[in-house]
Order: sequence, then structure tokens, then C-alpha cells
Amino acid sequence: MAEPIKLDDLTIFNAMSTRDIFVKALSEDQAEFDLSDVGEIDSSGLQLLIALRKQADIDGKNVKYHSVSDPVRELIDQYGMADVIGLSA
Amino acid sequence: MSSMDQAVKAFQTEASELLVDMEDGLLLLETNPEDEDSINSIFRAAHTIKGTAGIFGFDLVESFTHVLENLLDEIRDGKVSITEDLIAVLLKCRDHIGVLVDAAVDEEEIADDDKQNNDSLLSQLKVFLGDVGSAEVKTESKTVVAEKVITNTGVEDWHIDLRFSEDVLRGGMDPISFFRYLAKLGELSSIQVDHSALPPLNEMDSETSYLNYVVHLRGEALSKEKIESVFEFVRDDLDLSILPPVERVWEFISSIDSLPDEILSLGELLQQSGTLTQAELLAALDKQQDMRANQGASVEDSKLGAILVNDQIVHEEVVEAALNKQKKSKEKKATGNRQLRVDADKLDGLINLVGELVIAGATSNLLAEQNGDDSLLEAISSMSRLVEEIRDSALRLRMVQIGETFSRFQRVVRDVSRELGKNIQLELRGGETELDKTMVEKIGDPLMHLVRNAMDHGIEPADVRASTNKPVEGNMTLNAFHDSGSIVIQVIDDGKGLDRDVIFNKAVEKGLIEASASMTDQEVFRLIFEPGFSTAAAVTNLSGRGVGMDVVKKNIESLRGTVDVESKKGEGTTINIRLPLTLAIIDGFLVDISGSSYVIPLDMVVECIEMNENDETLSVHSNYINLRGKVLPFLRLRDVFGSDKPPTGRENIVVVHNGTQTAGLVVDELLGEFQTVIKPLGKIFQNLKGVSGSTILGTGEVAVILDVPGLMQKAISQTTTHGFISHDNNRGDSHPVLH
Repeated sequence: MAEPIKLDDLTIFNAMSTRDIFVKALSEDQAEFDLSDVGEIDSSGLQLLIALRKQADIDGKNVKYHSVSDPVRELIDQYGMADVIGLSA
Repeated sequence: MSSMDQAVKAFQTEASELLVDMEDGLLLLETNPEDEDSINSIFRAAHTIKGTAGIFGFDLVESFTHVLENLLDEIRDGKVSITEDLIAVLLKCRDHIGVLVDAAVDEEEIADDDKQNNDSLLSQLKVFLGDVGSAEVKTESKTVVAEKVITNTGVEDWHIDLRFSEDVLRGGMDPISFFRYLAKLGELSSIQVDHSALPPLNEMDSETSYLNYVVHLRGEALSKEKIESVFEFVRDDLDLSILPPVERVWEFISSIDSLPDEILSLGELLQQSGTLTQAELLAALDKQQDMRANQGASVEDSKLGAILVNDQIVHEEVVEAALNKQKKSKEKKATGNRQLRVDADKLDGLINLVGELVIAGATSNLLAEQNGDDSLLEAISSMSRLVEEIRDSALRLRMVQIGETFSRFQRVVRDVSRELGKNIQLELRGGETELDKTMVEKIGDPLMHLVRNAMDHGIEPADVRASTNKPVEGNMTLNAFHDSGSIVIQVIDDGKGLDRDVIFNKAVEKGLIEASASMTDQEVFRLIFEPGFSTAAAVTNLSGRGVGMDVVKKNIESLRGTVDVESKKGEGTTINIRLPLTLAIIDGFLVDISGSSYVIPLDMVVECIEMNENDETLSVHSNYINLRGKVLPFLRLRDVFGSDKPPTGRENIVVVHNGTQTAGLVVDELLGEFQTVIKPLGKIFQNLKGVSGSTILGTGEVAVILDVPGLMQKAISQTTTHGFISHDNNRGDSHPVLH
């Protein structure tokens, strides 16, 4: 099993590249991510996480998150999105 | 909390107005089941009461009205047909809502009786609803659930709905940053993300915005403008709707109610009340224009109010309040009849002052006359004219139309005729006739008794009516009109009429009259107002509850009014109540009887004639004269008031009338017109006959106001029955011979 993919900030500035990472990860059945280094997340990041889950459900694949940074946890909780994204508490 | 109390009070007032609407609507519907306006107004009333009761958490009111509303909805859709039974149940529901609202507002538990009533009405409503089919019942429970969800968001939450354009992220704006800013204005109670528009990863564009948000925000100092200003930079990329907290709905509604009547456009009303911002209004108007241009939408949906409600910009209740206000303002404008609510005490204060002004004016007039100052007299005469006008307009302020009192009887007649199993229609005439507010309040009970009495004892059961060739449907009429300074209120029925012989015999039996008495029909009929008199063979629970006709008469007399009866056997009975227009100030005619001043209400004076004792038209001993070929009974006030001083000059007869009767009052001197401020007599004089009040003259002297109807009764009875006043055979002798 490969290492979880470590993600950088989830903002509009790297939304394109993040999407590419997600698409690639799904196609390689390697959808495990480490969010501990995510310092900032905005709505583009949020919708990417949701879209990833939607795609995974369609493809019948699993997405896993390892250690989540505080900013991400805070936002996901405030928006009540933990269940949708599949980010267990 | 006091603003909350006010809001609750406003709710109670509005609810009672709506319930009146509902009752009117139901009664109309009963006669005309096709009337869609009535159905709609009933539905609207129930709907509004339910909605606002929900806001205040008056659960009983809300849940009960909810079931009623469901049924009304079915009626409106024509799924439940309108029957007599249905109307009867709906009327009961309407009364019950009144009980529930009052209990809820007073924070009291409802009585056990009402609780049972509640359950029985609910089950009756469900029977009607059951007729429609079980499918409908399911939708009912669904709406309940849906409403629960909305209430869960909390009454103090602002509901902010945000739909960003796809390009908002590309424009460098991040919705989340706005929410962070919102959190500084108030407390963010929740943010809900709607991601239904978001495609799965493979199909999405990572720089396009797909998410919509609903934010709930609470805080003291929030306003629509303030929240709107947060999003100022993204206005072009954002479809924003801000729905104020339900808690504020009443504030908006009451501020709408207090807006000036000049504002006629719905948008402006809403904007002024603070529930709608300029930007929202413009957006909604744009949308309206688009809808109308495309012609795709129905006219109903493209109304501004509908757009605002559907887009969740303004609460439905607020729009309804604004529409109501708009309607009222338009009506007022149309009739040019703009109204002002004034505290009755202020009005009474004004009228008291006018009364004092009248007296002070009379004093000035008197002084000017004594000093013989012509220019002062002239100035005072024009002042008196103005005072008179002020007096009249001040009194007119207290005048209200009797129609409202009359229309209350629609329901009474309906219910009582059901109870009695008789079919009786009520006709109302002269509802626009005006009389003093206090009179209107006090005449309600006597009228109620007369109407119930006529329905119970006067109007025959349908089979009897049919056998006497009368229309099966009985008719009650309430009529009002002005007649020589009085208002006449008639209670007319087309029933069996009064039976002279029955009344006469009964009166003899009770010892009220002697069996040998010869009396006119009128006099006999008047006996029904005597205490302890009841011709009813059986005392029903309607009339005969201990309040007799004598109380009716007493009540009317306490208003300085009179009551009499006309009746034709088999054709019906008319009861005439005659009341003075006002209780405060009248035009009087001042007369002098052996040095004392007396006032006769001017409206009752027909003419004044000189009394010539040698005249052959005069019959001193019989107390009547021949006035242009007619018998005119007269009364010497000198005798009535027990003056033993002889008259100093030629006497005069003041001819007075009341209704159809005419009589003469013999006085010493005629002093002319006089504005009379009526002061009530003290308690000890209350039972004094022939006197109705007192007044103060310009000189400061007291003058007695004559009770003309009472005196006339005396004058007439002494000429007909010779029994009222002790017959004084020596009267001629005790009188000095006139020179």
C-alpha cells in the first residue's frame, strides 16, 4: 500500500492541480489523502472534496483521509459536510 | 418584552377582526354557496390566524385552525360541497377559535368544556374531510412535518439564501470569506451547503462555483440593509434573498399598519416597513417584467406579492398585511373617508368643554344685553353662531352608524331560528343612520331582547304560517331612521301580532288595570312593558330568562328614550324605540312658569299659541282645545309643578309633538331658544316624573329640562281616561279671571 497523498492548501489557486490529483488518485485506486498540511481551504476546495466523494460513489471506490488539519476540520464541521465528504469525526 | 406584548395584543385585535370577516363570509355563503369571494375571505382569515398563531407558539390555536384550513381548502377547490350542516359546524369552529385565541393571549388553560368542544369539532371537521378521501389526509400530515422543520430553525434566525453565479470563484471572491464576515455581525447559527448542482469530479470544472448556501444568522442589530451591504461587492455574481426572522414578522406588520395611507404601492409599503430593500424590490420588479413579457407565467404568479413570497424574500403574512393595508387605503381614498381612532375620553373631554363654552357664551350674551352694548351684542351673536357650529360638529364626532350593531343580529337571528326550528330571515334597513356612541352601546341589550322575544313569541311556526296563507319564511326587520331630533329604531316582525284581549285579561288578573277600564289598543299593548307582565304561555329558555320587557323599557328610558308598540292581529308587531340623538347638548326652548325657567327640547316644539280663556275653542274643564279643527289636549305646567302664584299675564301654549302624538303645554312666558347643556339630575331625582335633567343658564341659575314624552302621556291620558291626574273640578275657580 502506497503512502497517502499529502495535499497542499485547498484554494482556488491550486484548484486545477488538486482536481488533477484527485482524478489520478481515483483512477489508480489510490484515493488516500493526508490533509495535515492543508493550511487554507476555501469553497473551491470544499466543492472539490464533495465532487470527489460523488465520483467515488459512482465508480464504487473508496476515499480515505488521514490526519486532518484544524482549518479543514473546522470548516467541514461548521458546514456540516463531514458525512457528505466521508470525513469521519 | 413589551414589544412582544404589544404584538400579542395586535394579534388578538387582528384575530377578532378576521373572525368577524369569517362570520360575515359564512353567513353570506349560507345564502349564496356559489360566492367565491366569501370562500376566499373565510380561507384567508383562517390562514392568517393559523400563521400568526404559529409565530407566537399558540399551538392549540394553530393546530385547530390548521384542520379547519384544510377543510376550507377542500371547499375552495369544490371537493367538499357546502351544506347547512357544514356552515353550522364552521360557525361553531369560528366561535371556538375566538375562545382559543383569548385563552392563548391571556396565557390561560382552556376550560374543560372548551376542551371537549375542541375535540368534538375536530372530529366533525375530520368527518367532512374524510368525505374527500384518505389521500388528502396524508398530505395534511406531510405539511405538518414540513412546518416543523421550518420552525426548528429558530424564530430569531435570519434566513439568508445565497445563489452565487458560476463565475464567482474566477472573479476572486470566496463565499466562505463572506460568511466569516457575517459571523462578525451576529451569531452564525448554521450554514447549509446545497451541493445538488455539483457534478461528480470527472465532469466538474474546478474553477466554476457549484455550491449554494443557506445561512442562518441571529443578532440584535441586524437589518436587511446591513446584511445586504456585506455582499455589495458580489451583487452581480449573487442571487441573494434575505428572509427576516419570523420573530420580526409582527414588527413589520405593525409598522405597515402604521404607515400613512398615501402609500399605495405594495413595493413601497414593504420597503418602508423595512422588510424589503430597494435592491430586492428592483430585482423583483425586473423579474415581474420578464414573467409578463414571456407570458409563460400565470397572472397570479407574476404578481409582485407572489414573487416576493415564492422567492422567500418576504414572509407571506407580511405581504398579506401589506395587501390588506393597500386595500384599506384605497377604499379610504375612494370614499374620501379617512378615519382616525381617537380615545373616547378625549372626545368626552372636548364635549364637556364645549358644554362649558356654551354656558359661558350665554353669560356673555346676557351681560351684553344688560349693558345694551350693540357692537358687543353683534360680536357675541356671531360668536354664538360659531359656538353652535362647534357644538354640532363636536357632537357629530361621537356619532356612529347603527349598522354595525344591526349586523350582529344576522348571526343571532340565524342561531335562534335554528334553535326554535323556525325559518326566519332578518332584514336590515337604515344601517347608515347615526347616533351617539354611548347609545349604540347601550341599545344592544334591549334590542337583543326584543328580537329574541319577537322570534320566540311573535313569529309562528312554519306549519301555522302555511295554514294562514303567510309565507312560510318568517321575516324580522330592524329599521332605523331620524325623525325630528330623535332616532327611531324599529323591531318589526310579521308574526301573529299581539292579542288585545289576552293582554287585557292578563292585566286585569294581575291587578294592573280595572276590568271596567276603557283603553285604546295602543294603551293595552303598552301594558306588556309593565313589570311582572308576561303573556307567554310557556317560558322558553330564550325569552323569559328573568329579563322582562319592563327592563327593556327601563333601559330605554334611562337613555331618555321612549318605546311603544303597534300591532295588528295576524299581521305582526312593530316596536318603535325613540331615542334622543345625543345625551349631552341640545337646542332648547326656554319658558317661564311663575318665575322659574324650564327648557323644552326645541326639536319637539311645533308652534306656540296664545291662550285665550274666553275663547270658545277652549274647554277649560276638559283640558283640551280645538286647534284648527283638531283636538289638542293640554297640560298646565303650573299645576304639574305645584305653583300657587297666579300667572301675571296672558298664558301661552307650546304645542309639542313626539312621534305621532301632539299635545300642548301651558306656560307663563316664552323666553326663546337656548342652547342647553344637559346636566344629569342627582340620584334622588331619578324617579321624578316630567323632568329629564337640568341645565345652567347664563345667569348661573338652574333650569329644569322637561321630559316631554312623559308629560304628553299625562296630558293625553287625562283627556281620555280622566284618571291619571286627579280631576279638579274647581280648577276654574282657583284661576284668576284674565283681564
